[in-house]
Amino acid sequence: MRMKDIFKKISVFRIASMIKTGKLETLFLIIFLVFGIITVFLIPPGWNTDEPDHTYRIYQLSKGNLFSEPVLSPAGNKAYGGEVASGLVNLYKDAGVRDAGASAADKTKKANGLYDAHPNILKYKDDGSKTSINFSGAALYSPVTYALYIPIFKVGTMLHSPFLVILIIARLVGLLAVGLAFFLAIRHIKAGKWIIFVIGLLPVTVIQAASVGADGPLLGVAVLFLMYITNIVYSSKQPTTRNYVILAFLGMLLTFVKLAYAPLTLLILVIPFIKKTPISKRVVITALAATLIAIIPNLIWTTMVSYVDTNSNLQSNFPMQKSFILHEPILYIKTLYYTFFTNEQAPLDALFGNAVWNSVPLPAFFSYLAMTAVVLSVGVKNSREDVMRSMKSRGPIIWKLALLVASSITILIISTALYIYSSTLYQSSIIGLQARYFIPLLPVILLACVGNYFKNQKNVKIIIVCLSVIILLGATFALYHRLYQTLPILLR
Amino acid sequence: MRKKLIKLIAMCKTPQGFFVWVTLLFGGIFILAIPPLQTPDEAAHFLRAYQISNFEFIPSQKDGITGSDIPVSFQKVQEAIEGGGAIQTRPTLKYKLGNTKAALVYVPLDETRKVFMDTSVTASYSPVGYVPQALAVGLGRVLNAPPIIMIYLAKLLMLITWTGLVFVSIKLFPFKKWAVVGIALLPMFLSQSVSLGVDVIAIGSGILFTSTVLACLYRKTAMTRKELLLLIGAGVAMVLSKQVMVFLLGLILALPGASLSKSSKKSWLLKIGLILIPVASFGIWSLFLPDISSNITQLTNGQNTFEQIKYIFQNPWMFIMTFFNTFFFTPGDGISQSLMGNFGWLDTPLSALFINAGYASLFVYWFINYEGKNNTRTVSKVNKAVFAGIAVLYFIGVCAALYILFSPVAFPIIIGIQGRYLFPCLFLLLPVFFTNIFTTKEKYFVRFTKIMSITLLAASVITIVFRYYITVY
Repeated sequence: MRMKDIFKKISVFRIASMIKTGKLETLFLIIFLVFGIITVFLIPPGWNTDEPDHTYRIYQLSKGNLFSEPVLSPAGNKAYGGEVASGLVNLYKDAGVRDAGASAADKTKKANGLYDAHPNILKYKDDGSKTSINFSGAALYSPVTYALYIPIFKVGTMLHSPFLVILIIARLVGLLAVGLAFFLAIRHIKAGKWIIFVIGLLPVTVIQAASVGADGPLLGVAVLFLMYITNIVYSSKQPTTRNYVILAFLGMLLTFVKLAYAPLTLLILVIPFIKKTPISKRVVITALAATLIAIIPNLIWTTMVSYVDTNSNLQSNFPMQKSFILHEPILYIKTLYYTFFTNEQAPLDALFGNAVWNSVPLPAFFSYLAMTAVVLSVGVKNSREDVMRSMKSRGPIIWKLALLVASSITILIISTALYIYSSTLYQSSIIGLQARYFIPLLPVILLACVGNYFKNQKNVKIIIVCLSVIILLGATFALYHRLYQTLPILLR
Repeated sequence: MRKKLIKLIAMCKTPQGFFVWVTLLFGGIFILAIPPLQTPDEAAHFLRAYQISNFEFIPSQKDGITGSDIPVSFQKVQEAIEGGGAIQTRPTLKYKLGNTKAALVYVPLDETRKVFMDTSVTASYSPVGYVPQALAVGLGRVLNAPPIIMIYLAKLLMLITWTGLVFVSIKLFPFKKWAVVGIALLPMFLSQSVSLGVDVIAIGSGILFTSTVLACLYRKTAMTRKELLLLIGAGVAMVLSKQVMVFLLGLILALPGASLSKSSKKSWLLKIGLILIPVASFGIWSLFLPDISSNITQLTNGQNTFEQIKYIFQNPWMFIMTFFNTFFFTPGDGISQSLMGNFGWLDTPLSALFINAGYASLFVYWFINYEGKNNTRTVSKVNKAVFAGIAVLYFIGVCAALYILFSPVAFPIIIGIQGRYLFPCLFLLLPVFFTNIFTTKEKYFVRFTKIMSITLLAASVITIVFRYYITVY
């Protein structure tokens, strides 16, 4: 084989041919899995943000304990958790989890030689001994959130596998599931394939998918829900009851994974108002029923676990904070401004990637590239995408407005919840917000702007793919440098 | 009257008209919103403007200190503005509008009482960079206006000068005028246009110089005398305002010989002349400069020019890593952020969302073409290489100078770089990336430019207002 042929096989020409032949989703899955698998093995156990709490809760659920119990927190305040295998707790202790990102000084903590220094990390199993531990941050989550991981923990502990192996398998399964969800969304969505492609390959998405927690499943369910509802909206056919049932199911999954994203299910209500046929009472009732089915089961679950106090900040005061928001709305708007439009909240700065307890922000240069890829993705259309011919004359505008309103309400709910439950009373900015919370909303916002803005689409598509790979390389390098620092680089 | 108004509004449809409207509107808001003397070294530049207005181009020296006799009221206005506590680099402290009022009411101009002030920070700058500021101070002195009025007048004249220079540049720019508008309306450009430093003349004339060269390149006909004078004027102004702009003179090499003279020998002589005139003018200026080398040695960064040069030559790989650390890794993020928007004393940054959006828009301005296919062929590959080479040389020149002069020996990042130093590169790269690889319709490009410029500028205004006037409860 000549050099030119080899070059062609591995170069952008290959990418171009994959794009041309409509294998965008395959290309996505290859890139996603390559970087995802690297991330799975690069980050030591428990070094992903909140990963220990999530695994404790998964262990609890895998043992059939549906509800968390009150336990004593080290600070002496009210906390919730339960009995967890001592092996799992010791695994994280040996891995230095509490040191991984608890404070800025811990950014010096490295993973070099971790397994040599603590050989037991590889051996900890479920030997029957238990430790009572606080994991209030994850105690509220329902079994649906962890449906992917519970069987792995169940089977793993039954087989007496080391917890490290169980954790790695759980990470890999989560990664594969999220990858498949994006794969299906890219394959089937009728508008905005490139938006889903770019968002799926953002470092923040790959990192969340490669860790055990609620964010990976949330991203997967969110894109599937969005794909399905977009297809109904852009389809030339009228939605059937079956469509609404599936939408209700996906919406229910979405709210079960994280209730804060429930406003997205309100999009179901908009469907009857943008399709061409006259609005009938039956259609509206069906849409309303689908929306209620999506939300109500989770509201029931939330009521059942309302006894859990997730307060992680002793200086917060729920009733007084609520009263403050209601009585001083202008000041609360100011708080929102300080949170989102200044750089007061460091976790929000790294919009497109931040790993290991927010200690590895994506370098700004790669963030600029990510934003560029996101902007470009809005202006390209896939050859298989349909046009908005099925809507009423004002249908596209109503739909775009609905997308923006639903995402804005969701942002407001997430922010307000964190202001009430995590922030110090009357704090001037919201504590606890992280950019990753908004990634599921990014495709919703971008779909409101999707269009066909470029003439030579092929070049734009190639550059989007190249940018996505460069950004992931940058993020992986930053992660490697933070954790291992073995490259001959000057900056330490 | 109504017709005139309609005509003025209709100007928005042209790139230069839109630029003028938006610059004057937001520039005016910036002048009012950013408190006086709240950009780096603005107070020192104000004193230098006074010196120039007094035709004191070369500062005198007293007891080894470079400075001048300056009215006490200039010192007092600074004190009145600070109001007992400087707010610079302390974002939690807010500016009191009463300070401006106090400066206006209680600090009149009194030129009878003067005191010798240290002006060594700005002593090396030639008068050329201070023409608008000095005119404003001169006008203020004629009107016996308080110094605070002189500051605002100077800012206004700076804004008008900037608007004029860029307006002409856009008119001359031979392609993608809307991209020039988009770049010139990035928040940091506008912020600099109302600061009392030399950036307005240096960068403004740099853009004018680049545009004139491109206009001649694009047209490929003989250069007019007006264009020749414009090139000489802009070249002299930019080099005298900031020495590092000398790199831009290399663009002359891209000019086709035929545009200067039919004789090849004569055209080369003219090219050399066009390069030498600004260089010589700077040479002449530097002959009169006072010895201000103590300025740099006074800095306590732990720098050592000789050792740093030795380090670079002995460890070229490490110097490359320093570049990497500075521009592609987290510790240097502040530099790239300050190119898009970090106002005041670099203590008022735009939020990450808008910085990212700014860079995405820069990509669009550089790479996306909305014009016909024929246009790109007129900028030859050789000329593109010249523009790219000059941009790279300029970039390396700025970085090397700051690393050698301001950074501690063997430091892992380059200290002292601010995004605004790289402004000329943004324009130099426009012809380099002018291809048909990415194309769109003009209406989309124009819409994008308008929406993005106004969004970024509006976000900047809100950021500035919150920084200086709204207290955190």
